[in-house]
Amino acid sequence: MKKIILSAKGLCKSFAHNGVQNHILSNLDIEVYKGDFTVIMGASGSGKSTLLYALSGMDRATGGSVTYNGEDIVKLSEKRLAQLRHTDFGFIFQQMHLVSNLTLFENIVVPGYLNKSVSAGEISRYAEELLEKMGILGIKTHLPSQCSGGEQQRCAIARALINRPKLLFADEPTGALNRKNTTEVLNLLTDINNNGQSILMVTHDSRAAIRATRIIYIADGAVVGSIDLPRYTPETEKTRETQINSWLSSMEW
Amino acid sequence: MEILKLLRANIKHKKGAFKSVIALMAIIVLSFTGTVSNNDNIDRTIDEAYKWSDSPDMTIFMDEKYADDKTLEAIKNNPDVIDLTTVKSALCDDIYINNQSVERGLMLLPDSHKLYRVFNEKETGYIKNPEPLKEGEIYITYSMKRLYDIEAGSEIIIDIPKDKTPDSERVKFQMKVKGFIADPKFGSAFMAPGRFFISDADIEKMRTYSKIVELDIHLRNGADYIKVKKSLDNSCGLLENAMSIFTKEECISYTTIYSDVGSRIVLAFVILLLVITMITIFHSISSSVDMEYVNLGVLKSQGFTTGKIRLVYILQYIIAEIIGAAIGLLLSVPLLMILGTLFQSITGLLTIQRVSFIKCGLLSIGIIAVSAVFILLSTRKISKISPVRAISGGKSEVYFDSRLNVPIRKKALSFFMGLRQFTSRLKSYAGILFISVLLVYFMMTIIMLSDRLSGENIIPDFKSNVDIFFTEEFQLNDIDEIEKTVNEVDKDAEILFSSGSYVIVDDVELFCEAESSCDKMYQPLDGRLPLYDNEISITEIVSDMLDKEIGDTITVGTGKNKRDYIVSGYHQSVSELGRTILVTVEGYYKQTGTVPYICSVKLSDVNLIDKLCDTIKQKHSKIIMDTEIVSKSDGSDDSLYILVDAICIVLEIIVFAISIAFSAVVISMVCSKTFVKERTDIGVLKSLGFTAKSLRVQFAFRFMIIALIGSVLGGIASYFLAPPLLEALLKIVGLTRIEAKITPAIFFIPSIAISASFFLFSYIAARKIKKVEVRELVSE
Repeated sequence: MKKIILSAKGLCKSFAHNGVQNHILSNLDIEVYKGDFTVIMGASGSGKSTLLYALSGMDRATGGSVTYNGEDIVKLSEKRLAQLRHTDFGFIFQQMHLVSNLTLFENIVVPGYLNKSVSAGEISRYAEELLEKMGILGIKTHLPSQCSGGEQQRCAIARALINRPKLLFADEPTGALNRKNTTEVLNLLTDINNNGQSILMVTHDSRAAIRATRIIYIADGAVVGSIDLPRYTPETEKTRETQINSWLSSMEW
Repeated sequence: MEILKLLRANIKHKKGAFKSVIALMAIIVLSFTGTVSNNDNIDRTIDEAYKWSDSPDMTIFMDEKYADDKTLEAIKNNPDVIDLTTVKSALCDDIYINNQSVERGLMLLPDSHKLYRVFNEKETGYIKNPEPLKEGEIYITYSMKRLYDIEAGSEIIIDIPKDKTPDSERVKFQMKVKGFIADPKFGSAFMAPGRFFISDADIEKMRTYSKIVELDIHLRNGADYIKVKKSLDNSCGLLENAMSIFTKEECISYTTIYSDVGSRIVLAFVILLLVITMITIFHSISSSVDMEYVNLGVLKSQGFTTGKIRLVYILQYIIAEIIGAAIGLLLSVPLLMILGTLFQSITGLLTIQRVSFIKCGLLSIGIIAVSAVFILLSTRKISKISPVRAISGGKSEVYFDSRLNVPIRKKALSFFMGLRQFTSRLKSYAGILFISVLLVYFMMTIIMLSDRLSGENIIPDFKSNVDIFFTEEFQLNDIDEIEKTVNEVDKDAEILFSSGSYVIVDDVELFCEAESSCDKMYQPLDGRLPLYDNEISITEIVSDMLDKEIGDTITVGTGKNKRDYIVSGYHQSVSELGRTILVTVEGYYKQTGTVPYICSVKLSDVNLIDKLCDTIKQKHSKIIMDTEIVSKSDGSDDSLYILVDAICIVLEIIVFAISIAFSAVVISMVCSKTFVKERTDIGVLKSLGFTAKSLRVQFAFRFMIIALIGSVLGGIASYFLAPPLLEALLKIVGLTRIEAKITPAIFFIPSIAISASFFLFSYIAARKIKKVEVRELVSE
């Protein structure tokens, strides 16, 4: 029996533009399980990124609830949300969004420093470990502008992991990368998921989706279907791809 | 048409910068319009008052015994004199207002001598035909009303000795204040002596004990005052016999001394504000071009020429400046009402409150024209924008420019993050740093100036507790005996014998001060103060006038006596606006045959005052005319000191208020641009778990760090650059050498004020961090 790590009920998100309300998410229910590599897919404009932001507390939902660890994060104070972001959640952006005037190493340790229970030395050691794991230890003193997109994204993953999050959110992490870098990043994510890290990722790339243990498909701001998959291994890649493509076709992808 | 459309869109889109430029320009125009108009108003007021009072070109106060027919005849026969009026008056050296002794010589004149006008009850105009004064009534000057807080109907005691003999009985006259007058020549708070007017009958009574004459001389147009004085001195020994001589020019100088100094300061400040505004505009345009790179490239690709785009920028800022200038001009109306009331207390005249619209309007246009050229230069980089590059991704994302990477530490994380923001983008903060240096420099300079201009510094004073006045029996060799007696009462007492009169040196009239110990009154600037009877110290102003230096010989003339002195050193004095020379009492005695008329005593214990007065009178009854208790405390309690200090405080408040208002506008403007530039980074940090509050603190920290660095640099700048600025500003009051003394108060008050305001206003400007959701920041 899988344990729910995050769930949303009746989730709504709308934006007002020139007095007109645009409903992006309407009455959406979703459950994310601990240890899963959950992927949210959907067509452009389906609301998948909006959902990810609402679930991670980056953006406030306009209705419904998002329950994490018994707390409704929609109702949390700004301070508590901030705390949640550096203690329980990690976030990877499509555009990496590394702080431009910090080195790769500093980009990783700065969110770690927010964690009062861990010493600076311990954070540095773990940051070095992550850098090594991501294969970018040699360029740790480089500024983001001196690195390739893949290197930046690997740094962003390390940054998201520095506080050992319970749940890692990723918004199209390979969207801005070339084929080689995409594979490297996906391998890293798969690897950390295999080590027990829960991941919730948004993508519209089926090559990324094959790494999932569960895929949720949304359309017009609502969940229209989901599929559970066994853990990814390189050997099963072809079979999974066929299975997922067939399922996506049934979702009118 | 397309330019108008773009212009309207730009103004709408950049309301913050538009409003900020309006505010900056309004402050600048308000400052100089207030100052220039106030100065013009004082000039107009004085000019008008001299006309209605038909004030004489030269006023001489003289003991009646010297104003004999021969003297009067000599004056009348002088070719430059066209009219001489003799007014019989009385001198009173002891006046008590509200039980407070008035520390200045006061002349009592008959009210029939209409050199004044009477203020109406509301102090908004003059009474047309005031009733003649009755016995027991007195008119006092308006400035005295303010200085001593007197109301109509208040009682004033005039205390006059019956004769000039030791222990003379004193006659007290109780007078009632009938009203307050504007006296163009002697009504200013800074004029000594002052003139009070009483009824003809009272004058006669008082003249029984004190007979003085006021000689009012009208000179032909273009007459040289110095030459007239010299020729009168030769013909009737005027300089030696007169108690004091005041020309119209001197009286105007004393009346306008603070408005002149104040306006110089404010105008220097306005220039500084203009520099700050230009830097801010440059920063705003530069950031705007960086941020709008893609849009500007798109505009270029659509056929907009660089010239048209630059024109839009120029128009946008010029419109804001014109609106700001108009607001500044309008706001100067109420400001001038406040300044008018303040300066009415100083000049003692009903001050005209009119805005010099044409002059200030033209100045505003000049400023706008200069700024248009500056804006044109600031927009040069628009010409370098390539449409292709802009459309294909815009400008490089790398906007940090420094490798000075201060390490980020876990402890005080916000501070180090703020410091990193600053150090990694030094170039973009250079303008802000320069602004903070300028503001701190000027604030420090203004405190130093205020300190130099404070009552105690500007009015030379030995700060005596007791003044001893001598009879004509007093001889130079009595000095030792008096000193011996004083030291018997208080062995640590400081004693100073003084004398002085106007003298002529190389055709220049100067005031010659004679002191028994010159170092008790002054500090030498160079060389040393006179020790021997053939030595003289001069001010640097006199040095320039006479072209004499240390070691040169100066010939001092009094009447027909001439004597040579060697310049031993320089000193500075605000007395006579620096036109003074200093000799020993022995030297003065050899020059004029005159002995000191006063001995000032500063006691180490103020409880010994009464004992000293009694002992001195007892032991030296023949040579002591009177003793006067000047102060029973260690500090000075002169009302004039209080007024001078109040003016300094007002000046400090104005400069501080404008500096803080300016920093608020500049910081808000810079912060909003910085915020837009860094919003993604801020959003990312927020997504990593930084709270809005810590990000705001981080954002504000860098500006505080800049202000702190600016404070240190401003302090250094003040140390080196404040003295020359202050010397230039204060030369008109006689101060030519200002030492840069940066006390903890001088350093910390402006530093804390600017650092706190930089922090506060940038913290406020960063409030958007709180209002905007993370996602919005990241993807905006």
